[in-house]
Amino acid sequence: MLSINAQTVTLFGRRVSRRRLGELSLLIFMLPALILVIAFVIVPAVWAILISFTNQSLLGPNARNFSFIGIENYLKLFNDPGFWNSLGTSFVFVFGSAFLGQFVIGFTLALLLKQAGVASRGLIGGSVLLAWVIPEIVAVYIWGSVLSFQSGSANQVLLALGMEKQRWLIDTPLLSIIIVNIWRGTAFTMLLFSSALEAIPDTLYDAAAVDGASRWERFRHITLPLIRYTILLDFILITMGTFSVFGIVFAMTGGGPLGRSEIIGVYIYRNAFEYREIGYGSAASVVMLIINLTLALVYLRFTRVKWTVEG
Amino acid sequence: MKKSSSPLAVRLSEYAFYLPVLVFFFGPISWLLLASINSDPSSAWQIPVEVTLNNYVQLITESDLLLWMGNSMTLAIGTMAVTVVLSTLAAYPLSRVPFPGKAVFMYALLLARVMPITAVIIPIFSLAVQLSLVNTFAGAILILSAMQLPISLWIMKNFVDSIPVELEESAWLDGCNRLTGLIRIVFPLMSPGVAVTGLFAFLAAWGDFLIPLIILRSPNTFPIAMGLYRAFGDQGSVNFGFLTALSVLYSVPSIALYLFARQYLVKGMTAGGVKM
Repeated sequence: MLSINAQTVTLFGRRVSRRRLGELSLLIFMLPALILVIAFVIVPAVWAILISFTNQSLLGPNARNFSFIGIENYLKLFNDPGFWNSLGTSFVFVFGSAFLGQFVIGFTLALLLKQAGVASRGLIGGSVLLAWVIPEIVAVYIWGSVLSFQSGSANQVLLALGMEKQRWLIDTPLLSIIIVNIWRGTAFTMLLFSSALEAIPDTLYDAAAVDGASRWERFRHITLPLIRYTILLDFILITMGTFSVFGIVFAMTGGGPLGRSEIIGVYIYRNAFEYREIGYGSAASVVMLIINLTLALVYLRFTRVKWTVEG
Repeated sequence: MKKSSSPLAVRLSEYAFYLPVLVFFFGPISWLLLASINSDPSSAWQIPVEVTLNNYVQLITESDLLLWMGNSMTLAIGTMAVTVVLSTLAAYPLSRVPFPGKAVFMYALLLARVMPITAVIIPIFSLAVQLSLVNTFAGAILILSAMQLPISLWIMKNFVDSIPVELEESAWLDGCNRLTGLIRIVFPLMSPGVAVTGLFAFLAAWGDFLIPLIILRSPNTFPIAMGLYRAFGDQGSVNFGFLTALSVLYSVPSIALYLFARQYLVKGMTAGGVKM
């Protein structure tokens, strides 16, 4: 039979190469998607790099008549304590909410719920999922109320436990947004590990149980080696995801008070749209792009390894 | 096989973990639900003394709810349509036609997918200004679709990959050419992929905050997210009945669609060469 879609047939005969020509003409279907992605993803990324070397502003004379000023924005950026503060805040935010929070809780939940009854699975798993699927701004208002000083339920709980009321968003803004982001994002890790655990055949555990392996030993020698890859994957995905969080922080604290919860995304937004310095804000964007690109390259390297392993 | 013989201590410690988890995750949502039917709601968690639907009624009669809903629907359906059509068209050649640089292209899509949108929001805004797309749904829809396309292309390509090429080959033997084979055989089999990418695109646009924040600035273009944000963002005193009822109505479509798409969630999360 004719093998139609293999590259190898292109060299033989006219009829076959015409088929290849027809095949290549199908590539035109990719064009609309390509144009859109280039226009609104690729071009903006390149554009951000270009205007980071200019003094362009959002409004006023420098909006149109801007000029190239070399690396001045970067010098200013690296001399701005506010920028370093935003990097540090982002780091604490990612470490606290993604690693200490989402990973630990999500992973534990996936392990426990695997053996749990239908009721706990529906109730616990469902609640965690609910926090993830509601729109971002709804999560913001729910937590704005929960953390409010006057009568918010977080303070209700503290009072019930005999503790003092807290001014959450004023005294501990970074902790507050970390808690909210744990609440919001744990479902991702839980789902990822649930499906990875599901894929491990029960017979492995049954055999180990027959051999007298304890619960811990079964986890250590069966589960852990089989989900090593998922753990790494989860780390990278939640790191990148948390690094890109914007709405929750912007709408809850606006980065304040005094920049104490200002993650880098909020720093960029404020400089570009509130102080109206597009060029300067773009320099910060470029730094953020480079950090994410580095993480993404680790991620890519890693999926390639997986590809060759799985064939 | 379930191990029902776990020692009591282990099971108790499991419940000791479940309870705070349940309170933490469901507590805030239960506040939202309870406050929305309370005749005297506040930020405190309380069982309503008097249950009422007035908050919802007020929302419809006294606010721009219908306008906001309509705008959100326009955004979500528009983004869904653009994303589905473009990724369906592109998926077939991406899957079946070998071309130079294809692997690089697929990797580049993955990079685009993980790019933080805040890092490119400045040029996106400038671009929207240049193209006169500010305050237009077309602008917001195109940008939201472009953000959604990298992941959609991956999902759709994977779907086409899973359709056996033999099905097409037999259609060609029966006299179909490549294009009619594509339309008669491949497109119908792609419908689950269309459903998934469409659902994801709808949900992403429905819940998005940042793009409406910078593109849809005039009140008559506000989707629900902006209506909520502008109505309550800067105010000292909050009308909790209004806020909670609107939040519930806004969340219902998201929750319903996610339940519907639950089986595809993980597939969507990890699309990009990762087999679970």
